[in-house]
Amino acid sequence: MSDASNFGNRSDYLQIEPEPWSSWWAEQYGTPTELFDDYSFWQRGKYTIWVAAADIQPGAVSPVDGIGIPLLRTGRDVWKPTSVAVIHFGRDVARNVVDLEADEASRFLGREAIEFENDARAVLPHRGYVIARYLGVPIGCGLWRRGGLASSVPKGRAMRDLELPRA
Amino acid sequence: MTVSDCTCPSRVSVTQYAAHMTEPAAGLDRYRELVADWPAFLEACQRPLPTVVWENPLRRDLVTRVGAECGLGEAATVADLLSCRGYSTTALDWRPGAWRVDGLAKPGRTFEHYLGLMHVQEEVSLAPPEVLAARPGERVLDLCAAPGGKTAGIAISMRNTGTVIANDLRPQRLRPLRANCERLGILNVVITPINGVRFPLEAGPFDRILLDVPCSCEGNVRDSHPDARGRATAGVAGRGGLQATLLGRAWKLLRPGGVMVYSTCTFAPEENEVVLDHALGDDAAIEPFEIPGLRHAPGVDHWAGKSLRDDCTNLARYWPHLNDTGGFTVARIRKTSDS
Ligand SMILES: C[S@@+](CC[C@H](N)C(=O)[O-])C[C@H]1O[C@@H](n2cnc3c(N)ncnc32)[C@H](O)[C@@H]1O
Repeated sequence: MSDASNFGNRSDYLQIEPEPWSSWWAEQYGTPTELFDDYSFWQRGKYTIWVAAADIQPGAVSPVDGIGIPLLRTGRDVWKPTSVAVIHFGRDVARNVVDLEADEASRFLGREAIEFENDARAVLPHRGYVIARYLGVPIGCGLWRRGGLASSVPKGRAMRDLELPRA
Repeated sequence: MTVSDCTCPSRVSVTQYAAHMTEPAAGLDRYRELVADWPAFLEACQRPLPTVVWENPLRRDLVTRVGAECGLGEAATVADLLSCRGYSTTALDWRPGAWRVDGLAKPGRTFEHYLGLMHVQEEVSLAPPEVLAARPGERVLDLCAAPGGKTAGIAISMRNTGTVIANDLRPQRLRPLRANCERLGILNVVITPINGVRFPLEAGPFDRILLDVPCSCEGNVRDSHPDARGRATAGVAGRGGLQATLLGRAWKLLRPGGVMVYSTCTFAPEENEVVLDHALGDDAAIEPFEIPGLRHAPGVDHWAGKSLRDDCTNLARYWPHLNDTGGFTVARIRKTSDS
């Protein structure tokens, strides 16, 4: 039985309540509040919130290196969704989302900032981390800065000249 | 991306490697009596492996959207998306939702891959999750999991529910394991960095266990990646011990009535039947199985002058020429009573 209680106590990962994370997501992206009903929430360290299957059971195993996928980084003033979570849970968002053209999507995925100076898209009241969409699907997120989007695609996933399908 | 799953350390010198490049089957002569059509086997070993991709069922709605935006209709598959960029695709006959793709040199640099709409995996590596046949809600252990192609297959067959513990000893291999699971949107996986030999028994019992052990990787003779081909000649000696120890530990973690799949990407009976014969007791039954459309040859019940457990013949040997794949062996073992 030696390790049996490690998971909860020594706590590399702790199961937590869905709030306030799930409400934050619903508020930021205008998604239904039920979006996260069938999932469990986990925390590792102070700043990363993970989301996993509702019935997942790590059991008596330690250390743990990952559980489900990381959802949010909460270390800064502005909470930041991860790009993998945006792709998974950003399918039906109603606000703080910008549709990109092929060349913009390509640059965004290469971590370049996208400017919308003379563009209707710049007029919308975006704030915080905005979801970038291409061909109707979420491809990542970036911090909205007066008329532009700073790409937050992580270095390890970013790719210049990714081969894209075109409409 | 086409790099082999295997990480067996290379013990091959440059000259050995050069010899290997001109004569991929060197060293494989010892299997002559096991292979029904030797010339076909040698010929298959010289040909490069086809690139195979499978569509991620967890991302079906995203594929539908992209397909519709591209004017391909809602029934479009990732194969249709790739075809419309000029790649020719051929559906696998034994596995729905998977295709061989011609000319796709860098599948990892596509939109479809980035978004987790598809995964790239050697064709025969798709077999073990099918044989394991995990069901929604179960508790499953993948003891040697990195880089995680098979973990993903198992997690998806459980419809993203229940628990898959995906474990690997090597820190540098955990990163791709995590990256693959996250990219594919897999939510029922817990990743652990533990030496399988000492995996905590309290974490069990498991309904099913995949034991895809480190091996000498002979089955990768067709892999175009130099590292993989180099490793493919690394020799079969001395691995059976670790394999048997891992099997012994995994057996203790399996519940009575549970199923274990033991697999290697190597031909050597020393790493397959001989390990099973050595490590399994009376509470184990190696079960026969068949994947419709994927041909295999039986395992051996004797090797190097020794006779082995009768049920070793139920192990499936996927020689490269049988299905035009890499080489692989798979055993499905049921725990018949408590040990
Ligand atoms: C054949 S590969 C696994 C491939 C993987 N199942 C897949 O489909 O992607 C064998 C793995 O075993 C790992 N390994 C080696 N020794 C181990 C040990 N003692 N415990 C756990 N994992 C080990 C290696 O790091 C390697 O990733």
